[in-house]
Amino acid sequence: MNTDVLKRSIIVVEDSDEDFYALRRALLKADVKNPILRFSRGEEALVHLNVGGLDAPAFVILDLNLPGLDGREVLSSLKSDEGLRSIPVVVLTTSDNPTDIESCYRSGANSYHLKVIDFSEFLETVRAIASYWLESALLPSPGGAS
Amino acid sequence: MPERGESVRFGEADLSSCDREPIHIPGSVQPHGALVALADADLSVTHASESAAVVSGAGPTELFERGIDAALAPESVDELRAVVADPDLGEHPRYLTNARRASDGARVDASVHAFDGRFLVEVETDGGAASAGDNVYQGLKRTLDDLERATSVDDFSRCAAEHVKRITGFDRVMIYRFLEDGSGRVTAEAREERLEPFLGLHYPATDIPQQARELYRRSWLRIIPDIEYAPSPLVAAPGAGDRPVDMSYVTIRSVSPLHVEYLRNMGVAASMSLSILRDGRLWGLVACHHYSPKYVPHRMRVQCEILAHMLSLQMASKEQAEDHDYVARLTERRARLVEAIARAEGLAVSGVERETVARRWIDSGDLASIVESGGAAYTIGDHVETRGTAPDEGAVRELASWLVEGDVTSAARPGVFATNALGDRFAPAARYADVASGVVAALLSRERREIVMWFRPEVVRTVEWAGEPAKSVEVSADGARLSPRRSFAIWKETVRGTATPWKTCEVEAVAALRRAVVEVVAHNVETVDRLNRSLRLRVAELDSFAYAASHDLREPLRGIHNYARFLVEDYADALDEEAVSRLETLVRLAKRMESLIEALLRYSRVGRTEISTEPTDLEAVVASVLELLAHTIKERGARVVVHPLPTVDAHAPVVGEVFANLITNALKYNDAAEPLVEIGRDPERGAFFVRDNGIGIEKRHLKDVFRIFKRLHGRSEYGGGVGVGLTIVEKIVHWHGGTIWAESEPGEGTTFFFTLSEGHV
Repeated sequence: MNTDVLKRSIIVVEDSDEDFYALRRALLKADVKNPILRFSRGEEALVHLNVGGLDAPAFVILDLNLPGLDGREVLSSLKSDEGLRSIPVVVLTTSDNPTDIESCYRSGANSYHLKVIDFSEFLETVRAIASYWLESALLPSPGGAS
Repeated sequence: MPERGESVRFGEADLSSCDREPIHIPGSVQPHGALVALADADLSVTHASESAAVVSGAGPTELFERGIDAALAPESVDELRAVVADPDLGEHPRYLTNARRASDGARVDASVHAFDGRFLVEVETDGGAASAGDNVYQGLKRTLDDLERATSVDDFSRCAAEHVKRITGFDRVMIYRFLEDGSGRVTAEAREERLEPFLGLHYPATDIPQQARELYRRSWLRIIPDIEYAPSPLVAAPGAGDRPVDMSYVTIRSVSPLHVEYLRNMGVAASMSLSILRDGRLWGLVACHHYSPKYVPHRMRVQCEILAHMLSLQMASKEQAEDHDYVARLTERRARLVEAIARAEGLAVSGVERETVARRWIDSGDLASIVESGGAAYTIGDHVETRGTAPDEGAVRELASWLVEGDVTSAARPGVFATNALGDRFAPAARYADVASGVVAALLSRERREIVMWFRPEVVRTVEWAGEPAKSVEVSADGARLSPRRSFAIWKETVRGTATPWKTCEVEAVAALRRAVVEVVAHNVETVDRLNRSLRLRVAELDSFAYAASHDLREPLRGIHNYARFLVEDYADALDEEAVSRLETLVRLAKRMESLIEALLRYSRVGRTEISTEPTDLEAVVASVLELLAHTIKERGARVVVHPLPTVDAHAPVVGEVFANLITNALKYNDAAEPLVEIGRDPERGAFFVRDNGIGIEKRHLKDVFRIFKRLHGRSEYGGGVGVGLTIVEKIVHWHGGTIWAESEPGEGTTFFFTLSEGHV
């Protein structure tokens, strides 16, 4: 694994503490050692990402149903911003509504995954996401955010 | 032979020119009477018929010399002077009371009328004892009472014919009615039994030439006591001038030889006819025939004239009453049909196909009887329904296309088309002129190609002449002979491809029906729009509800599930067996809750929108379902038999789910050594079926199986399950407008029957 990649954070936008706890547990079990930055609200995540001078995260895990600014809007904002659109955004949410799936990809989501209730299955999903973005794919340069 | 357009002299007309024969100036009279024309200025005699010598006792020469006094006795002359002095004297004859001849004082029948600048005196030898007066009324009273009682025009006519026969003694009395095109029909008849009936006989318009009909309209009575009469010429006095005597109103006028020939061909020796008028137009005639010469005395003629006047006066009101009754009947039938349509259209609102909707009201209302017709048809798009005697489906479709595409409906009555000679307007219709020469149609919807039509057969089909064509048609040198049979044959030719014309009230009835239907449909379209809007609103609400239910309910569930699990994982050492088991229960409960929510969501998604169907090959659907279930089937060692299935209109995406659920159940709830699942169609029940040889269902649970979340067995028995599969299947079936039910005996298997549309499969 590229040591540079290890230094890049994974941003998680998730309002539910329980869901975040489960995700973090799964990431640990998946041997992910990257720093995890969690935001409970979409606005906070956007503010953080817009601050200059920080390295871009490896990728963002985004829940769609957030209080206040909805996850879909966060996605649109990210993907329409010149400086931020190259950051991979992985949607992780409960909705399997085809309309949601369609519109997320249209907005530029990099992939879309379901939060399943069974932890073992959930773990597999998280493993796949981590492995894909941290090991298989090559990431854009961290200086992307400015 | 005179060329067309040339004037014709009296007595020289033939069949092609008979309508130009000047029958009002024959220049002769029938010899049973005498005609004396007096100048209106001084009452001098300007013309006299030769017959005056015999009839009035003074010949033309005497009359020219001595005036009318040569013929009539002094008291009669005085009376005559008084009558002609009356300014009200017009073309209708006024009879002299007690007229006597000058020569021998014998009684005569004398009358006078004023016309065309002359006074015309007619004299006939007295034919009966009493003079016109009170007896006439007595004789007529019975007649008038009977006429009053008659309810229909035909009844009325028959009664009149019988009474005229009784009064006059003619061998045959007919009521002859003119139709709008000038042709005529014998609508009533009283005859001697030995005679061939003429009832129902139709005559072409040419049989009674235009100028004859015009004359009949003006004068009221014509008589020919002996058709073989030798005409008695009218002699003009010296210096009387060239102006011919207009005998339009002279009863003893000599008649056209063509008419005489016609009567002779029929074997008729004497005739009389009376005019029946309605609103100043010639409605018809009372035509009397006798097979030997017959003289009708004046008194009798007066009775008949009065009778004819009565007929004329009452005909209008009888026809109006008949029309009124008819219109009332039509209106009542139409009201019932519109009611049936409104009821049936309620179905259209709930999504039932228009064809099914229409079939309902076509059958419940009596479509063919909305107007008098032989049959009716309804089309919508390519679908055709016919009732009664109508052209075949292909012809109706062709006609419907022409009606929709051509601009044939009238401006006066939008959306309505009427003709009684369809072949003239639309050439292909000549093919079925026998069934539909007359058509009246209402366009209910141009875009849906929805039309109702009524048909009338070619009128020759509906007409029977009661007479027996005993003799063959005789053909003379000039190519034609006048005779009733020939008339009928000619008439039949002129009406080829035409039907009885539609009355104004009938076309109006169709227009009114169309307006009523269009209104009902428009109202329903509005209702449907309103319902759709509210449906869309509710769907949107439901959607957001379902979504909220899905997300918000599941989140805490996930938490419970995960945390219980994490507890077990992390604190396995600190927890005893029981603690672990309880935590595992927590996990299981959460999982179950998740399944329930997910099932609920699935259930709520079915039938959210208006169903859209397409032809679906059920055999293909079942085949792909079986492929999906192949593993389970093999695992169970089950045998699946698929009987032939049709292609039906259904919502393809969900039909598979129906079969999948039913087949899965059939496999699940099955203990048999060799589980058997049969799929097919039951023609008796009119439904599809999925049958198994499984554990069966008790009678009291046959309805319960469809209840949401209801299971008949324990949660872990027979493969478990949430209990929503059949609920969803039921919802899908109902969405299609169909029904589903189960039949079963415990231990002997279960059959689920279902339909995918209203009505039979």
